Amino acid sequence: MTVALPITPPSPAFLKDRIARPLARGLVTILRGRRGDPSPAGPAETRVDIHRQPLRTALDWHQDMIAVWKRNPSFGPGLHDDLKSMGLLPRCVILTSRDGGPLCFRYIGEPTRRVFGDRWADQNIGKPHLDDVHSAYALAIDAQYREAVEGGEPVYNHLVITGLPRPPVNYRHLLFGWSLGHRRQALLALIDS
Amino acid sequence: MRSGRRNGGRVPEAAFDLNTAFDRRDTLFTRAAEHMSDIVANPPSGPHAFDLLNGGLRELSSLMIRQLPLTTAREARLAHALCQEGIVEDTKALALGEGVALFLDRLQAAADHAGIGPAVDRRPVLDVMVAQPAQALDEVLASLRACRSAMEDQGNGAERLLPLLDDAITTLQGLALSEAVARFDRTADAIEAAMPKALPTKPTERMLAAGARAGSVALDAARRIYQAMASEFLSPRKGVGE
Repeated sequence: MTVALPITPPSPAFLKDRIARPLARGLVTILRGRRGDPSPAGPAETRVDIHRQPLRTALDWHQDMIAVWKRNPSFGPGLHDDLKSMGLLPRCVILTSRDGGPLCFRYIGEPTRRVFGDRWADQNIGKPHLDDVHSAYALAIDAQYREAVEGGEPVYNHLVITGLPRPPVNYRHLLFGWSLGHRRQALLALIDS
Repeated sequence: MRSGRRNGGRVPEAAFDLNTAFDRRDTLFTRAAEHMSDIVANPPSGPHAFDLLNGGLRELSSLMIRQLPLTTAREARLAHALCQEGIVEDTKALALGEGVALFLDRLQAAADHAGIGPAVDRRPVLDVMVAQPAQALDEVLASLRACRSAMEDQGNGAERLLPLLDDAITTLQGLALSEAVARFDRTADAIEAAMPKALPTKPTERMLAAGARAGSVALDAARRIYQAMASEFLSPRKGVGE
């Protein structure tokens, strides 16, 4: 006697998985042009979004810095004294250039050190900011620096940086420039975070 | 150093006493000032009067604007500024400020006497120069430019003195830029020196032991190496951007 065993049809999901998985794997292999395990995901691209802000929306201590800038039309000892006495210096990034050369880091304050690290800061002092390993960030911000130095007016921006090996960075900076023609130029960035 | 000779009452009462106005060192500046003082005490006449006075003035002006950018000095507070800015030593600052003011008075009297000084209707020109003691090079430049502009407008005798003023303005512009660059560099160096450094000045024993192992040196040698590195690292660097 033959006992007819009931035939249970495979579930649609099982079938789909059984067919689709090798197909997908094969396609991936073909597309990658090689065999083996899929490679780990590549580093995310650094993206910098810069949004110009009206100066009237600047914070109160940003306004203090605007007053310091107005009191110091030239980049001299008075500026250094004012920055120190008002406690603004630790929030600054300061760059200078000479004889038409690139803007080089001269001071990197706490907000930037928190993001990029003390080691990065110490290694970059005296070096052109465009040589920074975060090249996409440096390139994006260079135009803003140039505008502040050559335009002669403060530049106020809101920035969002994504793609760094850390959570997105969100901050505002207020940029001031000083220039003695091509002989000397200086850029001060006041960071709010 | 000799003081200026008086000349039969032709010079004003307050003599230009170089012994009190300047220090006694024999320098190009004091020699030129002495020479000019003699001219002032004995104002030249004749066809070469102007050339004599002009030559002395040019020589002295050249030295003055090199050594004393603030040629409109009239007050002690200016002497203080001279000293604060490090332009001259404090022992000389006051004497220089007074000396320059006295010199300008004598120069004006001599120019009047020689017929090339400002007449009554040209008085505002000199007022431009002496009304406000200049505190900085850019103020001196502004005074000189205003003076030049006023002289050009008035015309009388301007063709002789304008080149002098042009020279002075050009020289002062160069001085002002050099000074601004020097101040810029000093400030940038000071700001950089103020940056907190991450390298600890007192390394732990564990750090030193690791360094000693890596360099195959004794612990004490590793400590000295580290101290030398920290000292160099924490001191202001020179020649940034060069």
